[in-house]
Amino acid sequence: MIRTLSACLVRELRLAARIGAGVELGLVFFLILIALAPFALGPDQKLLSRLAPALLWTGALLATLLGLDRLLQADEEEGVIDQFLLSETPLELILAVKTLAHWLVTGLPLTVLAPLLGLMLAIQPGAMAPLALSLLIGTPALTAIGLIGAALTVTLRRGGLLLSVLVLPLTVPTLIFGVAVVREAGEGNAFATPLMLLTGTSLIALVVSPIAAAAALRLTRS
Amino acid sequence: MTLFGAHTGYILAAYGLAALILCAMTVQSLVARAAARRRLAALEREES
Amino acid sequence: MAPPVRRFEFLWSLANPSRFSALARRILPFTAAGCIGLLAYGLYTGLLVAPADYQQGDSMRIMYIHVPSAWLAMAVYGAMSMSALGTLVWRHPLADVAQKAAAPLGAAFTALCLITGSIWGKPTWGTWWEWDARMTSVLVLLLIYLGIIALWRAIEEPGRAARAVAVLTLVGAVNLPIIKFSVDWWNTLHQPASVFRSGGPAIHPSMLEPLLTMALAFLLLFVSLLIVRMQTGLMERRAERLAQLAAGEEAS
Repeated sequence: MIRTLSACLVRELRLAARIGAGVELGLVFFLILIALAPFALGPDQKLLSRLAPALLWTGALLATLLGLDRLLQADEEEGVIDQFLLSETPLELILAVKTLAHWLVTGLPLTVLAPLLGLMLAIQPGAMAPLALSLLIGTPALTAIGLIGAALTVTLRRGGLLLSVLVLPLTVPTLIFGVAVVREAGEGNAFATPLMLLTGTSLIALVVSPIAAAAALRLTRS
Repeated sequence: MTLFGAHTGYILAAYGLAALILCAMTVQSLVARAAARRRLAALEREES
Repeated sequence: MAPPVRRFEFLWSLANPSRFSALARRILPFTAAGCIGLLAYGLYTGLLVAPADYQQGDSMRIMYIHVPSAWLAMAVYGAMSMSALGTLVWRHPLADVAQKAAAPLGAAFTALCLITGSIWGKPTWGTWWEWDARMTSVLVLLLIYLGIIALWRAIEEPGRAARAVAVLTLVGAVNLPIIKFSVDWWNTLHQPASVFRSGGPAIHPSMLEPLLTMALAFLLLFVSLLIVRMQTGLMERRAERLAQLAAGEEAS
C-alpha cells in the first residue's frame, strides 16, 4: 500500500510539473493582492505594518482557494476517481496524498513568498519567521478544508464560487490563530498559545478532511 | 406611542421585522405547499 | 433471516410517507394553535408586563426575540445534523426531506437573531454592529446555513443532493464548536474587558417567563413550518416520480 501511495504522490507531482500546477499564477495572484492593499489603504507605513499579518494571511487564503478546483476536477473528468474507488487502497489515504501533493505546489510556495511580501508591508522584523512558520502549519489546513469543498462540488460545472462559499466559513479558526501568531510576534509578545491552537486546528483538519471528502465522493457517484 | 420611552422606534423596528420575516416564512411555506398539492393533483389526474 | 431490530422504532414507523402525512395532518393544528397562543402570551408579558431594565430601559425587550431566535438557530442546526445522520447512516427515507425543509427555517432564525441583535445594539452600545463573540459566531453560522442552501440548489438529483448536503452539514457540525472557541478566543484578545451582551449577567425571574414563552413559541413555529415544508417535499417527490413515469411512457 505504501508503494501505491508513493506512486500516487509521484504521479501527482509529475502531472503538476507537466500540465502546470498554476504555481506561478498563484504566486502572482498573492503578489497582486498585497500590491493592491496600499491602493486601498494608503501608503502609510504604520498602518500597513499593523495590517500586514491580516493582509498576508488573507492573501494566502484567497490564493489557495483559487487553486482548489485543480485538486479533483481533472481526475473526475477522466474517471480516475472511479478507479480510486475500485482500488484496494482506501480512498481516504489517496485523498490525503493528493492533498499533500497539492499543498507542495500551492501552499508551500506561498509560504516561501510571504516573508518577502511582508517586507513590502513593513512587517515587524521579529514577525517574519513566525509568519513563515504560521503559514507552514496553516496552509495545509486550508488545502485540506478546500478538499472537502472540492469533493462536494466536483460534479458541478461551474462550482468554483460555490466551493469558496462552502470553504471560507470553515477556515475562520485557522485564519484567527494564524494571524494571531504573526501579530503577537510582531508586538514582541509570546506566541506559543496561538501557535499551538493553530497546530491543533491543522491536525484536526488534516484528519477529518480526507474522511469527509472520501464520503462525499462515494455518496455522490451517479 | 411613547409607551416605551425613547427606545420605542427600536423596539417597533425589531418586533416589526421579526413579524415580517416569520410571516414571510409562513406564507412562503404555505404557498409552496398549495402549489405542490395542485401539481400533484394534476399529475394524478393525468395518470388515472 | 429475521429482520434486524431497529432502534427508534417510532421514527421508523414514520418512514412510510403516507403514515407521516397522516400524523402530520393530525398534529399540525395543535402545534400551530400552540404557537399562536404562546406568541400572544409572550408578546403580552414581554412588552407590557415584564419590567424595563435598570440600565438599558425598554430596549431590553428586544431580548425576548433576539435570544429565542439564537436558540432556535442552533437547535435547527442540531435537527439538521440528526437528519443528516438519518440520511447517511440509517438511510431513513424522510431524513432527506426533513433536512431540506429545515435549512431555510434555520437560516431565517439566524438572520433574525443578527438583525434584532443589531437593532438592540444601537441604543445600547451606540453602534449598529459590534464584533463581539456571540454575534460573530452567529454570523459564521449564517454563512454555513447559506452554503448549505446553495449546495441544495446546485445539485440537481435530489438523492445525491441530500447526501452531499448531509456530509456538509456534519462537517459544519464538527467545525462549529471549533469556530465558536476560536471566535471567543479572538474576542478576548481584542477586547480584554468584554461586555456580556445578552441582557446582563443575571436574568431576573420576571424576565425569564416571557423569554421561555417566546422560545417555546418559536420552537412550535419551527415544528409547524417544518411539517408544512416536509409535506411539500413529499408531494414534490411524488410529483417528480409521476412526471418521470409519464415521460417514460410517452417515449416508449
